Amino acid sequence: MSEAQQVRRELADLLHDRVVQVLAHLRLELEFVERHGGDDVEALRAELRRLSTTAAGALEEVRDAMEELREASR
Amino acid sequence: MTVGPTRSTGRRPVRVVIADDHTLVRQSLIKLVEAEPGFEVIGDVDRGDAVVDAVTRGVPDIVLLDISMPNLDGIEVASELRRSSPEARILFLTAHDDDATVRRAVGIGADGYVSKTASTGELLQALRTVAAGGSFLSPSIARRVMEMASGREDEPARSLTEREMEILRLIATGMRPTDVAERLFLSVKTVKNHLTSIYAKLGVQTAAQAVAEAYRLGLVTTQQER
Repeated sequence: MSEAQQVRRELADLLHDRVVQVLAHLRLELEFVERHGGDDVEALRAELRRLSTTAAGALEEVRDAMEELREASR
Repeated sequence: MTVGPTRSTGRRPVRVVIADDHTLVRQSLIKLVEAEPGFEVIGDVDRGDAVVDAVTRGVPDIVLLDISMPNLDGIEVASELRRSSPEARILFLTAHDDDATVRRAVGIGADGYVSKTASTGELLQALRTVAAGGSFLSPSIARRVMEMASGREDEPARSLTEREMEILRLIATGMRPTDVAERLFLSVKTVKNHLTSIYAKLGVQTAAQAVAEAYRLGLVTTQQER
């Protein structure tokens, strides 16, 4: 496998294993809050903070992967 | 946040086993299904080779099955379940919606196929439909299946000659035209002429695009490449 194909494979794996999974998780969780959130504002805030932390972690991973791709394409 | 599911009365809940190696998604699915009236999660696993055992022990009505899992992929698991627990209904939930995967999944005779990009509403609709004995395909997947059935997606594949298919498969393994020429005892110029014809038939401009299109059409698979 060429270096370019290796990089594409790693990018596809990252998208499948991390990005799609985290986005699917966030969507399910946010829609769950919409359906079953209830009236407890503090509990809702805590849940949103948890989801925000998850999203931030995924963003960090995507940013690192973009940096690696830039390095590989130089 | 605490949310208690409201059980339907008088009827046994639909028993579900969830198999997904991605912990975050699996946890969300458990929470979602548990909160749905009339449904109960009786087990969850994170490896393909653990599904058959969980199904044999729990005897669920539905197995919500991710396709990409370690040790044994979801399609192989479904194939095994068809033999060992034919009464269990199988609903694939997956991020894979390329033609080759859809073709394999449909070939197993699964009861449903729902995309991981689907909304909660669509996922619950899929569970209810399959629980009621019906079949469910996400709209994006249904479109692919209809194209396959009508033969439209196979048109470029049918027009490729045997030699062009051979060259395309070698290019997909990462070979350069010079490597392909050496392997097939052809001149580099002949290989490049074949490539020009392949690109035209697939409607692409580069080798990378041709390889991507070959994967999309299921002309080459990851197994072939390795």
